[in-house]
Amino acid sequence: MKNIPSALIDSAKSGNAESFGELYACIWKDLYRFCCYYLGSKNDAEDVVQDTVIEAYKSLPSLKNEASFRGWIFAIATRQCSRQIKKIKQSRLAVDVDDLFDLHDDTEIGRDTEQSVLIFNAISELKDDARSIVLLSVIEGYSGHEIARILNRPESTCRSILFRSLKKMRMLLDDTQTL
Amino acid sequence: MKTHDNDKLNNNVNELKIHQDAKHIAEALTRLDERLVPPDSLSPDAMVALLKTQEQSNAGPPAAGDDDVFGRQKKFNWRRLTSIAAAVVIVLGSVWAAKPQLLRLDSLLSEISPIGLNTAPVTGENYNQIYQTIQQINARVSQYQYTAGDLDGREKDILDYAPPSAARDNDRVSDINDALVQGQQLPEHGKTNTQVEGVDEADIIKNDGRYLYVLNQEKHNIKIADAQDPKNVKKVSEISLDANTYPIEMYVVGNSLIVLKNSPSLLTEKQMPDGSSASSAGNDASAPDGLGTEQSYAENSLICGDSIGGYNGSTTVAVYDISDRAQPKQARTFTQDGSYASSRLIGDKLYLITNYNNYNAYDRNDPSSFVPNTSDSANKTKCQPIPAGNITIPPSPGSPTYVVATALDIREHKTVPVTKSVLGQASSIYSSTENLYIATLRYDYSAYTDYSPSSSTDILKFSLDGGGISYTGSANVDGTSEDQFSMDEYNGYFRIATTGDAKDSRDSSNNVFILDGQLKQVGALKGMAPGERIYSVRFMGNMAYVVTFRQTDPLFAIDLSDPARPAVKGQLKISGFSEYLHPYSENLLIGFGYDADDQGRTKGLKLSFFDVSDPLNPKETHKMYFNDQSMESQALSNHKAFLFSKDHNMIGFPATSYNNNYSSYNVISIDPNKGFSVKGELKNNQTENYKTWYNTQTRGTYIGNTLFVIDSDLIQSIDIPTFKEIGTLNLTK
Repeated sequence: MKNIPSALIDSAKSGNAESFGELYACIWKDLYRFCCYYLGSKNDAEDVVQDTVIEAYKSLPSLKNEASFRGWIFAIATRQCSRQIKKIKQSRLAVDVDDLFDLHDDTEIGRDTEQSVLIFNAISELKDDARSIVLLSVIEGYSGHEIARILNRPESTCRSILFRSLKKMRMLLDDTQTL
Repeated sequence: MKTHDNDKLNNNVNELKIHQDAKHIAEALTRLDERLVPPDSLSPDAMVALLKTQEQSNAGPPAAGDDDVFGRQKKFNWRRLTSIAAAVVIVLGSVWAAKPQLLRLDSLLSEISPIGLNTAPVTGENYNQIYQTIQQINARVSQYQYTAGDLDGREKDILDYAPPSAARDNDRVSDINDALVQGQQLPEHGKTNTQVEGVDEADIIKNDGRYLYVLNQEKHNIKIADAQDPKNVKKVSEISLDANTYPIEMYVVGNSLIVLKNSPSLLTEKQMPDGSSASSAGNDASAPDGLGTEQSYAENSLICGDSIGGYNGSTTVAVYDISDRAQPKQARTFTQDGSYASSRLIGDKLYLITNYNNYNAYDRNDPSSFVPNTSDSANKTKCQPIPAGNITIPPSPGSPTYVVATALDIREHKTVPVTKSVLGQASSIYSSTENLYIATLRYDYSAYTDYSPSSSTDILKFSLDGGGISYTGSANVDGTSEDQFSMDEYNGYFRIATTGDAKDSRDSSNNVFILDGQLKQVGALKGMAPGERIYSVRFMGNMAYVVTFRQTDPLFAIDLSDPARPAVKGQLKISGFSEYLHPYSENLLIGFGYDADDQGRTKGLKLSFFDVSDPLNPKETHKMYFNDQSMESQALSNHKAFLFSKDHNMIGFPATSYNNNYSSYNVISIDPNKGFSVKGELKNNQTENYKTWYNTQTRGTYIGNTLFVIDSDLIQSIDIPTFKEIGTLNLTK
């Protein structure tokens, strides 16, 4: 998002909701999708996106660089997701994959889709901090560098968690082969 | 998978693998994307309406809709999973098995003759040799150019999970009397929780027994407050730091205040056309550190900030003379390339360690483009490449990243700093008063095909003798270590605890290695607690205490008195685990961590007293559980946020409750005979400032009988015996 006119950001910062809406429009689908993968539930994702938007709107004055808007709002979303995970952890353990991906009504689901679901499940097996790192890498395409920045954690830690998590996922997926 | 503008090359082979796997996963998930269409309630128009309603009603964030969320509890459809699992076998097989690209990598790796193939490290002879070495390393992965963003690496100390050191009222080697006004006696006061006596560590808060120093990273400033009258703490001065640097942490010693900051790459100065300040990349000559203006870096920004930090940025040490606390004066700046890894202060010597990688922007004829550079205001140097002779090439360097280490005298500014470098990437450091050890990760891809490269740790040792810094050798041990507390030096021996991931199974195993003064391995304990990982370590003289965890927490008491024959003497199995071990005395350890159920799921914070007087029989004598299971504490991963005072028999730590939406500073009274009891809790209701949810800025410290809880811009004074709040200072006023 390098070409955001600074006038738009300034307008949003000064409380113009429509301007913020334009910024949001650039990333809203990605944001929702990210939260869906993170939380495994559309309802939760919806709540978190709303909370993220509200928080981002309020904190926008603290964003110094326009070009960083996307990473910045994903940082907020990640924190919100993390917070939400803690809240729902105790009360609901299961992720409803059928519901999340609308799989009930399909009479025939392609093998590819099934495989994808398995991969998604493997992501859901990851602990919170590993999950955020993997999703930021896999879904949003951020590098180890960038993830470190978004999560405000050391780069080497992010890389090694990412590495370990992908490896763990691979093992989880390999396991299903033996079923 | 998306790519981002401004991607630069990262030549780490490890990064490459991550890239490939991430790509496969992303492709697979893309098929599911179309099923994740956002509802109308989240459309931009709806959001705009929501924001306007929010403003009007001035309400807080909407309720999380908990009722809906808990309404449905469909179970995971196991049957579907198993029925499609079989069908998926072949599909997965084709995704995960040998793919053309990976085969190519495999053969590529086997063809490359390792550089520095000798078992001994090689000292650089000249820049040409260094240049060639870098090119060779890069060539290994040149066709897999994986680009990484150019980021502001707002790195705090890169040491995660760092339990505190033996807390004691250590004698500071420096001259505290300098700081004293009117020659008063200093009361007992809190100091940064460090690992080794005589080796200071930086932090965002400092306390010299009279003044409190508060670094606000977001606001780029440091405030100095006079706490002589605890009821009436007064701000005396404020240091504003350049907008285009990012302050990380600081030291205060005597009349010097030393700030460590992320700063823009030194090379950007050199690349400015004719060094002229009229260009858009203006060079502000009046700024003491001569760094460019904010605008020049804006073009390179990618995420949340300026293009400072990141492995191709630099780190600056700014030394301020605070003899007059009301008028701090910048005395000197020293900058070295690379992002901040860590630092230590021993006496008047500051040791700064960074990781540097210029990502292939090399020019054979300009050493500055491929070796680390330094700038020093005191000796009037600017972007000087370090001498080839100061660079060491270890056996099989995995990436063209340099670990850069400088010894800087913070008082005698005329002393020329010594900078050494070794190819590698520092992950944690440990320093005694004599030697600095840097742990770097090494991935061994020779067993590539099963996608489980074994990882090991290369330890680089530097002697700090004679006020300089000299590389004395390296050694490799299995597994990886967590943080500075996984390492220790005692009686000339170096000890390190690691967790190794076995090649063929997911079982990890844990080790302790003992190396002699020449880094030769003399003793080892391997394969402890298979299937578990190390969560905390504490070396105490001849003993080592290691906490591992997967479902239950064994605390191992290990006898290291015979370096050749380390032995597990006793084990204690309890539920939960300590992320963090702190010695109360020679025989008593405090553990801070989580309780957990028998499935290994964490259940809330926990404090433990461990009696280790009989190593064969460690006992958990007391414990305290925190009922709020959504509570987290920064002190679990940052030892500096943990306050321990034997004088006051208390522990302090910040915490955040996610369920109840507040953060707090908790003080617990400790008594080895009676255990733990809550002394007081200072609550802060959640503000909209999301940073407070992570309590990254909260610290507790004390002077005499007053506890000061410092959180960004607020200093609260609490009388310790009564736990009554006796004063508040808002530093922004």
